[in-house]
Amino acid sequence: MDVSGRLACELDVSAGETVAVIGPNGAGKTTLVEAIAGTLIPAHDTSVRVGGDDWSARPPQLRHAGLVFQEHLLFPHLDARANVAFGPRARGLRRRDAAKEAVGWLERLGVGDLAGRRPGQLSGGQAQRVALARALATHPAVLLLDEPFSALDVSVAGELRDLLHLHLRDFPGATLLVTHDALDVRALADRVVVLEAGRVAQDDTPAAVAEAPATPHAARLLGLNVLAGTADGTDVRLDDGGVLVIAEAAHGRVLATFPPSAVTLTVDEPVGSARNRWRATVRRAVPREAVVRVHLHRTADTGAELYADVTRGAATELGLEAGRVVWASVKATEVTAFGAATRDAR
Amino acid sequence: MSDAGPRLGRPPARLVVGGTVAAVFLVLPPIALVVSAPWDRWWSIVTTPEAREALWLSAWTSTIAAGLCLVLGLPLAWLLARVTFPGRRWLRALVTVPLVLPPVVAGVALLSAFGRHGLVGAPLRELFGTQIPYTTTAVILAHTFVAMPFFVISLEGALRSTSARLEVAAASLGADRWTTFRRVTVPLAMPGLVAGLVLAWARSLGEFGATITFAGNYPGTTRTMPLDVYAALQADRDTAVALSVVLLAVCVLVLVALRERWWGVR
Repeated sequence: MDVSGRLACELDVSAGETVAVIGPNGAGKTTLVEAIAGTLIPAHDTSVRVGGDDWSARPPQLRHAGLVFQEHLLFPHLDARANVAFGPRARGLRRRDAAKEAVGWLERLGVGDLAGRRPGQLSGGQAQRVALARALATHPAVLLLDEPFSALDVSVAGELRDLLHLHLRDFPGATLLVTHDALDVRALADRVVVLEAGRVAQDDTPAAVAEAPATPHAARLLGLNVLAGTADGTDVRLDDGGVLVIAEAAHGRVLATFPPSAVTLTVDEPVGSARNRWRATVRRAVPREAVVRVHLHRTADTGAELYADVTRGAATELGLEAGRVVWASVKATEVTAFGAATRDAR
Repeated sequence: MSDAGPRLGRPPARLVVGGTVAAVFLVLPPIALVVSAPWDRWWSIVTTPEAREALWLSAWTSTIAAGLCLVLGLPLAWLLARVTFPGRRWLRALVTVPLVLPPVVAGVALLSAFGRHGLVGAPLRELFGTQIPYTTTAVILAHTFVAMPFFVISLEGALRSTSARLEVAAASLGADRWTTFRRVTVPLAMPGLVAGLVLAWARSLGEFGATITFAGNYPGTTRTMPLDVYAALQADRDTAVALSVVLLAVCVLVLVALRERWWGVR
């Protein structure tokens, strides 16, 4: 599709497939969703084909796309049941059948007991479940999820992610998931499309993108540490100050990446083989499944962020709380440097 | 929200004095009206056949005018709020003209359009022999002409403040624009719609200038309450005051009906 000045991309999604769309703000993620849903204003020259149908000239109501937005956008004057029944009703089902269908979907999404509540009486997670039920109840050919969890608490988002995973397995249509969260990508996506400045920078499996991300944003999003700088041999002069030592010599602009698990945190300055070490201040420590992800600021610099994964035991032992100053070290052999394709390394 | 606000010290005297004078000036005349009403004869005055006729005429012409506002003004407000077309801003400005037009001028304008020799009136008379001026139809037209802008403006605001994104959501669920209008747009704009309707009804109930110019002042057919008050004033001041109290009471009722909107009571 081609949306003048904003987005130029070609994308094929198979039935049953879930494609995560990632990219920085302004990369065209939402434009892509709107172009497929037909809600782009003003309408542009886009070509959308779904199955054997050409949707390009159709208004949104004649396409068959289910939308879930970041803000649930439930109808505030209707209760949950009527919200979910809205789609089936609009597509010609009789009132009673639509209501029955709606209750079924609410139950499948674990909010059957809230059918009589209005959106104002629902929590964020409950409302998003209802919104998901509303989108699925129309049996869409394409499901478009535009950052569906980003307004929710971490734990609520996790529950909903598991639930969505369950439903996407049985969902026969194509799913496009716009997200800013690596967990969404890992848990839900069969494929990742990396958008950058309105173009597809990468289109691959989550594992492949995580291994060799084409853009700094993708690298960061998938949880890697990314440092931009200019390489001269095995030394990389970092943009935000300092030198990073890499194992394999390189020249010119590079993005140096290393996984959070490669970062060692110590209280005292480490003496050992690690060539790269920084004094860093802990900003937050976020427990994930088995590890604690520590967000750090390299003290010498301004705002440069570093992620380190440590075990829960280590986190407790080191007293990793916000404000704590520690030493972070990385072996040069853990660092991968590759040519920076884009002008902007941020 | 706190009523008291932050403690910033005493309010300045000049503002307190000015505000007090303004408040007294606005509150005093209605009170005077109630005080000076001939309460011993009030009931017999307002129940004379002539007064009852005027009250009844006012009530039903205003109701029809409000109905016309709903049937015609709602689509106009929706067009102004939701559809982009060339000249929309001009149309919105022109639609509000009757709002600020002196009512007498509105009456003259209506005569120029629908009068015996008017732009539309002349061909109407030639083709169908119908005459609009100085009939009850003219009263309704005059009422609708001055009341509709209130309705359209108030409703357009209500439509604009409801999220167009919800209509996108409705469309994605397969609803065409009419279904979306019926099931999403109108229900969400309902408070504004009701307020606009009440406002339009009250405005046409009080309409005087355009009515007397365009429809005349004939008892039974075009003499509405305000015209009756005016006619009574020439003859018997007590009757005028007694009838005015009725209109005042209706206005207070309208205010109470709109209290949620204007007084912020929830």
